[in-house]
Amino acid sequence: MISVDEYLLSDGRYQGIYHLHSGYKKVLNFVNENRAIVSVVNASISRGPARIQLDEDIDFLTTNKYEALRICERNLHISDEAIPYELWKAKSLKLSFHYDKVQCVIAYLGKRLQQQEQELFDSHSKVDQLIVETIKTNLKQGQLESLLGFGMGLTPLGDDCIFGYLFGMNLFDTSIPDIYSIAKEKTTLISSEFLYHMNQQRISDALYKLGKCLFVDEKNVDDYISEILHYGSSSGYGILLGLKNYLERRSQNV
Amino acid sequence: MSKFTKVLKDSYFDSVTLMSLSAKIKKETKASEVTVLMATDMNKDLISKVGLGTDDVLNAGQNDCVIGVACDGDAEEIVNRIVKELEDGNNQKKEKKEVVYHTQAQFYKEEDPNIVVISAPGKYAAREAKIALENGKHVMLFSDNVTEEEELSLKQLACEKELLLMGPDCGTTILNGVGLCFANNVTRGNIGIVGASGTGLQEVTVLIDKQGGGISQALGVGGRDLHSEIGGLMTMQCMKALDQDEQTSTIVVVSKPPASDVEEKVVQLARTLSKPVVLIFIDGQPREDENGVYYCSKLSEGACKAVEVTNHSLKTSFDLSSDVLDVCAREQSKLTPNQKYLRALYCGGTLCSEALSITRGVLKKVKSNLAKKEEEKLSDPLVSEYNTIIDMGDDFFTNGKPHPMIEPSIRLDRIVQEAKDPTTAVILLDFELGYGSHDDPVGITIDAIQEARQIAENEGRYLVFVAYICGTEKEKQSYTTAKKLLEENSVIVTNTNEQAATLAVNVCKEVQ
Repeated sequence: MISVDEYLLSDGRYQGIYHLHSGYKKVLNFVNENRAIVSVVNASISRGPARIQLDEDIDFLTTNKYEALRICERNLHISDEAIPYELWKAKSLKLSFHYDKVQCVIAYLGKRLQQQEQELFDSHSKVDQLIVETIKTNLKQGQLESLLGFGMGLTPLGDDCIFGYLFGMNLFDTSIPDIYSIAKEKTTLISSEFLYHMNQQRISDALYKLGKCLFVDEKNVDDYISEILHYGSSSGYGILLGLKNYLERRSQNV
Repeated sequence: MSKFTKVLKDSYFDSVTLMSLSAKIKKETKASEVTVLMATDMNKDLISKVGLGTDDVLNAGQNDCVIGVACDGDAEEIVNRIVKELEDGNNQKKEKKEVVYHTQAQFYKEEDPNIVVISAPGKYAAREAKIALENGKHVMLFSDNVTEEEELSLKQLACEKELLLMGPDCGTTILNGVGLCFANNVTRGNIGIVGASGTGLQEVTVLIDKQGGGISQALGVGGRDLHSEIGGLMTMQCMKALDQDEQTSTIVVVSKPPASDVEEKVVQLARTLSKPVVLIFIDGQPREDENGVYYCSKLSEGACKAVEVTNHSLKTSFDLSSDVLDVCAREQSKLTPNQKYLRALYCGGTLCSEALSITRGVLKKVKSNLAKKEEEKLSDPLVSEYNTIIDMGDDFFTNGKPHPMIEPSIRLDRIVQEAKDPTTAVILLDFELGYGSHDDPVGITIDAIQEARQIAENEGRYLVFVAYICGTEKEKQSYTTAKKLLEENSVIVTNTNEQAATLAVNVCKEVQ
């Protein structure tokens, strides 16, 4: 059964007719006149905020079956066809901050990120060096706004880091800063949409699993972190780097 | 140092593609900087810091993509190469696009085909076939489990509309040189065939090709068409269509024995057509040829007749060569006194029927899962008795599994099982090449043949293997390689299924 974020049907911002914004193998992004982005994802992508997850593993690059999207009250139409669906409710995960446990996670993430950095970035590229140095410096200082729209990728690396940082805040804090209202002017539409939901503390199944995996049950953590690190070109790296930096800063205040 | 930038407006490329492309180009061109970034304010500052902040870049919006290159050579050329590779990648994706429609109605809004192939579960197939016919389309109905009542109703509708309803359970059709579902790569020519049997139709097209003839059309009509209940409606519709077809000069009809009332109707129609008609009713009653209507009861006989009728200068036959007969005699001499029985394990249903027809005329105690006669029925299809001829494509074996023509491995265990029976003398196998069939049916079977031989040898026995490969030299699977592989493993390979069955039966006849 097709799964739809319930928010899409209840929030007025998401009502209306959408046109295709961008398309990839596993994801199609649609935009409406409110500049709201909805992602139609195939079954291999986790359910999450502003997502419509199909029940088959479609390669969107080889089919034009999904060309238009319409959300009208509680009806969902894809390519003019009314689609039956089940509702998905955004996850929420709240944890207590155990210092020792968090230190272990920081050390573990540090090791994994270092390995990934060598694969991702070209040490001879001045641009790559500048990006990584700037991001690390600003993260250490908690200057999230200065990272908006910064770096490589459709969701720029700086945004991924902010996203990971806010995810950490989501897990351990009661409130998080409003980054979205600035983000929509400073970064790409898709990226700001991600931050919109993080701002409202609505997290995907994948992030929920990440939180559980790192801080609760630790089952198959190596495999799952490897999976996350391969999100996009550098998105997974950015999310984990942001999370690690949040954990470090939070530890200093304990 | 040369520097160049380009802004792609509102362009969203997959991040992984961009990263791998820029890394590849940087490595190949040895450029000092190749960067592809979204033109956000922060990124524009960054690009400016490395000296690539042109006016275009500074004026770009946050949803635009910027490509920048700095190098000792021609930076513009490298940027253009990146753009081209990105565009080519997108175009390739567009070319690869497979259009999927949810309903026939949606499809007909955009496309106007004249034939539709339906391969839906039987429960839905008749409904879809009806929609297609009502929209004026010829139908190839690959699906089985369509009831006889539904089949009759669909065929009546097709006749009313002067359309073809090929099926249900129609696995083979060749239209104007294009094979649909299971079909062989045969020479195009002027012999048109109507077949109420799948592998029978394939075998006749292959044998005509081997005798130097060619096929104009090969139309499958489904195995029940010549039953009394359907009355040969589509066989006759196809015969009339071939009579009108400019590419066809001879018409062949191939079927297992029809119901007698239907046979008469088909014969009556054949007499009225303007072109010669060869009627191959496998295991049918012998009849005298008439003016323009020829009767055959074997597939190879019918194929030869069709080629001769079409081209009077050609004299054809599939006589067994003396070499093959010598090999066969040598193999037979290696059998022990207890080894008496034939075990034929077929993938092709009509080929199996033909083998059964040949066997029952010569050997006693013949059992088969295809047999209609009570005394010939096999009590358990999983266990051979006396001389056993098995159709492994029967529903009993394929329930929930692919047909053995697609996946011949379901036969492998049975080969080994027969080798363990000390009374087995000959194992007869068929292999189907062509479109739709397994990529290497012989290769996948060789290990089982070798294992079977080893089991027999360990017990002081020798097994005779006889095989037929249904296919031409032009198939996607190499006929020559398949034949060579079998012969290297001491399997006797014949030119027709009839020859294979005849040889196998003769070996057993001698020892029985």
